[in-house]
Amino acid sequence: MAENQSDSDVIDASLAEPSAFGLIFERHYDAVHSYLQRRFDASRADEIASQTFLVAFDGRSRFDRSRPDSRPWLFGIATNLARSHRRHELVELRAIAAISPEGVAGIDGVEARVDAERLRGPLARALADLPSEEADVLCLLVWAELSQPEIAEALAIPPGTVKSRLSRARGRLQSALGLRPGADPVAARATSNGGE
Amino acid sequence: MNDLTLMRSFRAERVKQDPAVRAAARRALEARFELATAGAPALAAPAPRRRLFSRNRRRFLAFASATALAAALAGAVVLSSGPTAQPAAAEVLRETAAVAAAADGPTPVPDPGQFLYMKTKRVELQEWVPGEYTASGGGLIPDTSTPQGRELSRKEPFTAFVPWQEEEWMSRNEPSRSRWVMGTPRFLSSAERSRWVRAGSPLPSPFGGRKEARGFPGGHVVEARRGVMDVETISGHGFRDFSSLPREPKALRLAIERRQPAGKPLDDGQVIAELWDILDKPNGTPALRAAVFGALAEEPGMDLDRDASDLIGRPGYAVSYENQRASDYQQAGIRVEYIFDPETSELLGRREVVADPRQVFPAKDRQLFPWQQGIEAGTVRREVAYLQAGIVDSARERPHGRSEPVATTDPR
Repeated sequence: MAENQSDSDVIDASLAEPSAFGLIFERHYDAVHSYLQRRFDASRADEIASQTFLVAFDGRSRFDRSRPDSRPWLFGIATNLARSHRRHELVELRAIAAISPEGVAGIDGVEARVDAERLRGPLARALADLPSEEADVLCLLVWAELSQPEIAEALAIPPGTVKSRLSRARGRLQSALGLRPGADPVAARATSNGGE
Repeated sequence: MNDLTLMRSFRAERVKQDPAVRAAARRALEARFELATAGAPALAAPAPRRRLFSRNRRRFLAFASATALAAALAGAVVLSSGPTAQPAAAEVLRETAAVAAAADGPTPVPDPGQFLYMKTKRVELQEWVPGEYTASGGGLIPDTSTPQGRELSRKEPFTAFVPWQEEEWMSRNEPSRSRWVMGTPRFLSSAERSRWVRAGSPLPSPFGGRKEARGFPGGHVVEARRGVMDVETISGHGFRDFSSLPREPKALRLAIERRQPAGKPLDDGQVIAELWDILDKPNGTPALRAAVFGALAEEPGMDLDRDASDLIGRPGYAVSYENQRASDYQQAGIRVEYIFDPETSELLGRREVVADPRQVFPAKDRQLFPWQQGIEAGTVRREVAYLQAGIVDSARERPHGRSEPVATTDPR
């Protein structure tokens, strides 16, 4: 039964019968698309998601068939494709930062939903200010829901590098959001070097 | 709440699965399967996309425009990336491909016995010697090694921008019909116009009246009078059957390449011209039109003008290509502008602009054609606006039930 086959088996079968690759699309398109929707405007997300599967199909012979799950590989392709659109991602994040309500220091005693809304601008600003390799790791962790070993596989980097990038990224984020003692999101925003 | 929790909620509201977008992506992949099954080389291609400005993006842009960020945003969109065509042009063409793919309504393919109707408005720089010849776009050099050529060389031609409206009823199995109605010519100088008036205002072919009917042997002349030619011909105005063309941009380009005779490389600008030739016919399906826009996006060397307008003033975007080498398709030094509405993917027009007069009108010819010296860079040499298209049941019918000629004229 094709549904019971691992991704690896399906990709293997698609080398002889290209249409078999359709099952990979069915299994993972929504997840890849959702991840990209978090990062990009709708039309760009649509395009990159679709292109991810075209690139994956063209490169299926290079898929490491010792790995049963193709998700890390697909998210890796999507992330690589997304890099050429990073500029747009930054423009949108900075736009959100510019038009969102001012963040304020401290979040104690405020409902989480309200916090999220209030910190939307500072968060966008902080994400825009992250180095792209740190942003990729963070986005794959949170929005693609990949584990650290899977992120390492997706980006073809050592697990230790994932860990250190993640640590730096989170540190920057927490600092910018005032989630560490003494840090003020407004001040963090004002001293950011990623502005217009 | 920590940083990861905040991030999980950030822009969560825009995660939505649109079945149409998913289906388009699946179709793009299936086209790739077909290509692979057919043994063609695997090629990366752009994917179908949704409208140029999705609702979210439109709202986003509107909101951002209220801030000082608007200018930066606009600039960023212009400078967006694309692999081969100039980035902005490629991006817009891909977005227009998505718009075209999403078009609904019946495909305008006539049944046997029906006609494909097209109405266009055109202007062209013409040179003519009444009753002898009409040259399009430039001038004619008579062959003075023959008596006829020597006699012709003694006649002084008229040169003007000639406007006309063209209607075509195209059938693959019935006599097709063409109707041309000329407007008022625009001369390069008032002196040239005065000379023309003194000569009796003779018109270029085929607008000279009944005697022009001789130019359509075997045809049935419906109407021929000064400024109007209306003729039915057994052959000549059928329309191309696009049903066998691929619906995937890379495969479509491959099909164009494969039509090329062995050993003959593609000409400069040929692929763009051939793609537009498909697009400007009204019988392309949404999928084919999307593939054409997608294939155009992959052609290198195209520029984008977001502030273009067509011959009748309709605003749109223009992508353009300037021929660097003379080819069977275009002279060197001519820039061809392809104008369309990116919001609907509707074609508006096409124009040929003299980008480099020295290439278009070489110095050796300028002695023979003094008027060419007055042609400056930026002059539009030939232009068309696509006005109306549809399917009709007879060559006497127009879309929306109109059956009488839409215009008559006596160009003066």
